[in-house]
Amino acid sequence: MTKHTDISMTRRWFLAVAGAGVTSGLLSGPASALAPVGQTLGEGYEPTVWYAIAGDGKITMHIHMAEMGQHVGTALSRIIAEELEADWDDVEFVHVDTDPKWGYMVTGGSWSVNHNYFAFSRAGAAGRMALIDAGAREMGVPAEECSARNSKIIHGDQSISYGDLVARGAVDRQFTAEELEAITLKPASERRLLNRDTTARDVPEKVNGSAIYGIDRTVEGMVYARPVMPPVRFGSKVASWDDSAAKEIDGYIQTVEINDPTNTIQGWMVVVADSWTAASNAVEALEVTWEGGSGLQTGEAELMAEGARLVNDDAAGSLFVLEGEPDAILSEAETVHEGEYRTHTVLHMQLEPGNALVWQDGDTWRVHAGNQWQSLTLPLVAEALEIDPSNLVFETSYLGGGFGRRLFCDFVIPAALTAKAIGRPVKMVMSRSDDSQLDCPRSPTVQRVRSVTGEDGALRVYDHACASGWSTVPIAPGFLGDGIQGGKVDPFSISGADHWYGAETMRVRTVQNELVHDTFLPGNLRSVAPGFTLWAVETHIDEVANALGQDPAAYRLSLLDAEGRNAGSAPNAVGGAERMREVLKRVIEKSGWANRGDLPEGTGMGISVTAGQERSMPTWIATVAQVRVDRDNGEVKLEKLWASIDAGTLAHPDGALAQAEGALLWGASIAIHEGTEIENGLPRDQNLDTYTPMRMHQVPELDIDFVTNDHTPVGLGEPGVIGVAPAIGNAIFHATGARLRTIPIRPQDILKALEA
Amino acid sequence: MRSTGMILAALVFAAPLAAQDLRGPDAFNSIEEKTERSKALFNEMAKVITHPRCMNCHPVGNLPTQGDDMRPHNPPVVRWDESGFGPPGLHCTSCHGAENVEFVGNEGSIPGHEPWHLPPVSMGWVGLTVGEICAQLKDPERNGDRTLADIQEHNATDGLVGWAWHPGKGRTPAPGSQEVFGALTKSWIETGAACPE
Amino acid sequence: MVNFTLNAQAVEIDVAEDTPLLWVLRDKLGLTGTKFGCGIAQCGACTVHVDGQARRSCVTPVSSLEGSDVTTIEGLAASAGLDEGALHPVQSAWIEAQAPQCGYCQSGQIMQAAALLSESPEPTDEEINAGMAGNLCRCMAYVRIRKAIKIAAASQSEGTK
Repeated sequence: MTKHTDISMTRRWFLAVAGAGVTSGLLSGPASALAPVGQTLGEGYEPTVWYAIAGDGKITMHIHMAEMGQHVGTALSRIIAEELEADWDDVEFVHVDTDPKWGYMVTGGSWSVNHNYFAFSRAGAAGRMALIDAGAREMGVPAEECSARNSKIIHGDQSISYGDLVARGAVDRQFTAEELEAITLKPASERRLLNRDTTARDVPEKVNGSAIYGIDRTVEGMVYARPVMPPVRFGSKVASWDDSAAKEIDGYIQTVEINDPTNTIQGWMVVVADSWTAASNAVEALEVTWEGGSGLQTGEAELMAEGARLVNDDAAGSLFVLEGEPDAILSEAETVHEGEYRTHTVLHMQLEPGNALVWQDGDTWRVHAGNQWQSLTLPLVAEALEIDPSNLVFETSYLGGGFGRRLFCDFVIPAALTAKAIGRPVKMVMSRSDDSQLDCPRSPTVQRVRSVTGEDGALRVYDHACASGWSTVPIAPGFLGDGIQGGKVDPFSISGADHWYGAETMRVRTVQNELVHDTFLPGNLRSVAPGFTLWAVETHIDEVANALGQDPAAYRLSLLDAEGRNAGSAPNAVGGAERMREVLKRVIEKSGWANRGDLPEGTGMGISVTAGQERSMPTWIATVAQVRVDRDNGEVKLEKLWASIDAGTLAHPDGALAQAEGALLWGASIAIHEGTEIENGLPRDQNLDTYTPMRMHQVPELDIDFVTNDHTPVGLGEPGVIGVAPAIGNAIFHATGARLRTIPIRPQDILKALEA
Repeated sequence: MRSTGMILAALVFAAPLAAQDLRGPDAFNSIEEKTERSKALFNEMAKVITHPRCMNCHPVGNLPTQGDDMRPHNPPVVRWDESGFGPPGLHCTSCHGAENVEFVGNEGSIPGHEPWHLPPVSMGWVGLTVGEICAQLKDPERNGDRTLADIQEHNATDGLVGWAWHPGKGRTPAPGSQEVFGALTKSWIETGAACPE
Repeated sequence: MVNFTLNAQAVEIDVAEDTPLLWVLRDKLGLTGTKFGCGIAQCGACTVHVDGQARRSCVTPVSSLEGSDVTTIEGLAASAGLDEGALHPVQSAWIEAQAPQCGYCQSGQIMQAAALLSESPEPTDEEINAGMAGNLCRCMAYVRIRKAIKIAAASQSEGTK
């Protein structure tokens, strides 16, 4: 399989995030942000690397997170501007290219705002302190009598603007890492930007066609390319090929066999032409035979069967959570609640297909391609090109959708190797079906949950086992954590099963389904592990509530004791399960849950409560779904979703709402509209004719509210996805009595469950 | 006349697509009884009429189907009104051009013809028996006020009908040819345009 | 050789006649606002106007455009008689609703919505569902796309009063 590049430089960083066994989001920013900073550049002043103030008063933020729909530049700039006391109208931002000075570059995990919050706030505060010092000196008054506001330093009725101070060269303060760390942020009562409405700065260029995505860039002398996809992801070799028919196509230039030194790309060729249509037609005209291939006969059923075998083999896998001795209680329990929960393969289908423009610029190789994890892909591409990583730059552009697809940008490699082979800039664009064949889909999963309840319904045992492909293994195995009793765990394939319900004993076991890895490269898809583990948790808890004859919402409240491991911790999870109770109460109230018995026949409400994206960075969300089920044909109409969300401080409230809207609909789409199965080693559905994400007419009514508070901001890109599928499944149960344990939920599954 | 007592009659679904030959009218000369011959001729015509190339655009509801398996049309377009050109802003011609077009970068093609649209809902066939379709075809109330001569002309020469035999890459053509279909229609009319039960 | 009008300018295109308009726009003419998503008329990201009607440029051979009038997102405002650099009311509505997320589908969404509004200036929800059925938004910004269409409808009706 794929060979991996040195990760020693990043391992420490990642372990802080991924943790050993439990994920931890404690990270104040890339290490380089803590290096001594503060310099004057001509008429500009950079209090830290994260922004520069120019003599004309313009403040330019340097955004090292990828823009893929979250309006991340706006959100991060608000954080700096808040402490800097900048006039928002003076603020601009640029999305930066790769440079070691930015530290580790990854946009994922719903981390951007949370992970940069403290570093960016302190950066803003450092600038304010430096400007106050300079302003005081210039006005000849004591610094402690000055204040900063709206890009001005004020003393009584005197003031001087940031731009003027910088233009005069008056600002020169330097900050050591220790000094930055020691900065105390201003009290929330003094905030003027965070938690306040604004508009996203990237929107105007996204409505007039001027926004540049990876696929939009051109360079002088560039040729076009489309790959020839191997029969399966791994193990195929080109045995022979013949381009005589391709040579008849106007504009065809040549075909390049890809021999990737990193062995990431196996059995590919790339066709080069003077237009993409010519390249594409030449691909179709090419005669190719391959030999070999891993998983050529493997289908979803085999992957699931292997998953089922693994979850039922108590010796398989490693422990992610172990509290108390669940076996002692399980062996003596009169009743064990047990369910097997499954999720099928899901594709990213980001609307901009994979593409990369690669060219050599002197000694430097340049790549223009949307990218979520530059620090992962850049060293890999350098290794493939057999160049030093310092001679490779990834330029930044907008991403036509990320959703985890662009975390591992392996498709840059064939573009780069083609450019190297032919000595010209190459823009490789994958067709939609090419992209789907190479996708790193969300692995199918099989999960077994067993629980034992006490007399009052309290959980005495919660025992969860999950078998899936492990997304971290193929791309960054150094980032695996250690299992509690040995072995390895992939937090990105099990997180979420470590839920916030109180339990006397608890065990979470995670098993790598090797058959998945033999077949394709399992990836991270928006909401990552919680997107499937919570399907099991929240369906199971619902089943237990119903088995006990309790109201599913009230039962959940009773389990949220907010004690011990669920008490929460600073800075991200202050209040713990108490805050989960709060959002649950809100959604119960506003959805009219108490009256759900009065809904018409065939209509039902279901509930869920979740804390993605990680236990250490929880966004508390309670979701209620209302569905109408047609018992004759099994069709589900999702009528309405209610969600109450506590994400702490909102850097950009309207952006937060937009993420919540999109995420809720994603959750619904994965639950009842999309999904595929592996057939002969590839996704069965490779284009949007048969792979069918939600469209306009399927959109339910949405009612979303945010808890307003000043807690540390957490994440919003993904957490909204997590609770929707179980809320829908639980609503179908309420509407019909049919219990669905597999997503996607298809009409035939409902008909079958109704018969049961 | 449309029979209302046909609950037991088998419904017509997509005919099997394995290369069906379409027999010409001469093949039915051995049937001496004229009405029986007429019915047999219509049954032969039904091989075309009930073929997915025709049925896909003759839904009884608001939604066309597509493909040899007659799956729901995606994108999920709707007839909208009796003109059958789709809703405001999204006409059939937003995607379907004057000719079949092969996709670039993906397998298959998108069918096209000028014009491209759905017939009125009264001409819906999906789920009807062959006899029911026959009765509908003859009924001016439901066939667009066409005479039998108009129907023959339509079947023999209409370009959109003729598309069924030239449907583009990835689609099975209707059996036979438009010429044979036209000849069958002519003989069916000449033998009294009788409808099978 | 194919001659047509593109964003109010005469163009003469010399490419293989089955070349889809999408790739002529993007790769020959440098108009990259029109996006490639699926290549099979399923996602709507490549929507342009041909003679005032919405059209999926990925399945439109350039040869079929002889004598046609083609408008892309870059020329939408001008097609409504507005100055260069101005925004079409639909684009303004998109900003007011803060509709785009990643934005990749939005050129197509806007072109489709403009076509819908030109035929039905105050569309019902049912008309919006039907008229926008061919435009996927993978970010699922549908709530705001609907809202933006209604804002545009209101502003246009305001403008004509």
